[in-house]
Amino acid sequence: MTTIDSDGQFAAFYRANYSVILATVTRRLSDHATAEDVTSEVFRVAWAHHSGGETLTLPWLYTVARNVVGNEYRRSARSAALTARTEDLDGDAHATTADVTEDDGARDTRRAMMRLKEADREILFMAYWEDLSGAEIGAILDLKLPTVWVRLNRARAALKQQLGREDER
Amino acid sequence: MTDLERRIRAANPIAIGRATPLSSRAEAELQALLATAPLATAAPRPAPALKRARLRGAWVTGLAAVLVFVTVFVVGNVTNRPQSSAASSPPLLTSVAIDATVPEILGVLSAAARDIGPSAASSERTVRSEAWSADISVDDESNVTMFVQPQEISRVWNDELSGRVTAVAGEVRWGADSASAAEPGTVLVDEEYGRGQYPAIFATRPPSTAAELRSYLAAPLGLDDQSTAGQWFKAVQDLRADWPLDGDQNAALLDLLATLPDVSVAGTVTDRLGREGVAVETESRVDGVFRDILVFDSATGFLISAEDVYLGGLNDISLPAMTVLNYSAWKDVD
Repeated sequence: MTTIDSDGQFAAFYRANYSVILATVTRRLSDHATAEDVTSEVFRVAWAHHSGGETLTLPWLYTVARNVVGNEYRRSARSAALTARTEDLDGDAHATTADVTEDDGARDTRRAMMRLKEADREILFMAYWEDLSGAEIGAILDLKLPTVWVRLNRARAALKQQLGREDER
Repeated sequence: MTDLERRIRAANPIAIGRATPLSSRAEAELQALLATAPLATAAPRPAPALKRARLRGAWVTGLAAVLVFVTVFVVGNVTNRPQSSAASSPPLLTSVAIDATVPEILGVLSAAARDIGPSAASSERTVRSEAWSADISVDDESNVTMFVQPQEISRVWNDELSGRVTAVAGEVRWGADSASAAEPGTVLVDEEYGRGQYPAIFATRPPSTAAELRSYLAAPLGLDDQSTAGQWFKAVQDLRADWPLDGDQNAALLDLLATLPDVSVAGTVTDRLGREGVAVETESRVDGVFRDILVFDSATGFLISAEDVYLGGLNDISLPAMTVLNYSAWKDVD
């Protein structure tokens, strides 16, 4: 084996992208410790990919993360439990210590987001919770940048409408 | 940002942002990956005839003010720990202590670099280095085999983020079990990047003051006041992979190091390319599991090399303590 991190590219890639992958995985799983384990697995895959001479990109890594999360779901049968919790619309599937002190507005917003169509919810997560750029979202979802903006606008509009309904309750 | 966008962000229950610094676990796992698979290291070779900077005299004059106080020379490895027990591992750097304080030494190096001053801005920059390509394997009984093969690395890129990265295999330097090494001269990497595609962490020109450099390094890597000196040392390596640094930028780097806790000066060393330098080090990353070393040219104060040493203590890594993990030696310094 000769392909290595000869000029620190993998280390730099790891440092630049670890947190966004951990955030992405944490959002999809039920606990932080499991998310850290899954993130480790994602970067083990990335290291093997890099060692094989392949180019690493965030969209590729993001796709790996989603696949590994899928594996984790299957492995631990968390999926059903998480889905059930999501359907409770209480947001606890994403609970962290931040939940302890958050206000009702945050919970209402999250509840409204959970009522959106999955495509709308995902693109809002990617843009605002994972801090992905429009170009990165486009690369991950295989969309041109203008389409990303259109989808984001649509998702924001849907959320605004949903929040109006929440306020009326 | 609109009120709705602020509301969406505020609803995020996950206290992890894109700029969140690596946890100790994440840093340790990165090192484990790099140490137990094909590994990023840098290569020693006979010293080339380097063109010394024009201000060597300034350094000699400046350093003389410090070295005049030298009363004791201690020859040893960078600390008094035992030498690496990993078969075929590169030897630890041997240092000669300098009897002066860290601020004094960094100050002299910074002044030497500042005397050289800025370079002309160019849309093309080239970073050339020699790197070890080490291959480490650990069997079930923790026996380590390792060979070290140098690579010539070239990274050329432009302001609009086009560029090219190449790596060419050299002769195996250490290790008898090198059957899987590449044939010397083999082109291992040759990647062209179109406009906007070059994978630079630091896309804009580095600043020339310590305060600005601190912010510049922190932004993409999520460093803050809680970050260890070791994390800043790694950021410096990341920066140097992207940019050749001029005199003012090296001075800013040295001034920044002078503000960090847990930094010491090991002394004068001869780096893997046979160049005389001053080794600045820290053992603060991952709770002291790794030693990070930066070597600055004795004459110019320019950063010429970086090296990591595994000190032992991680359960996930079966390597013996005091194993040199990687080394980068930059050749674009004149």
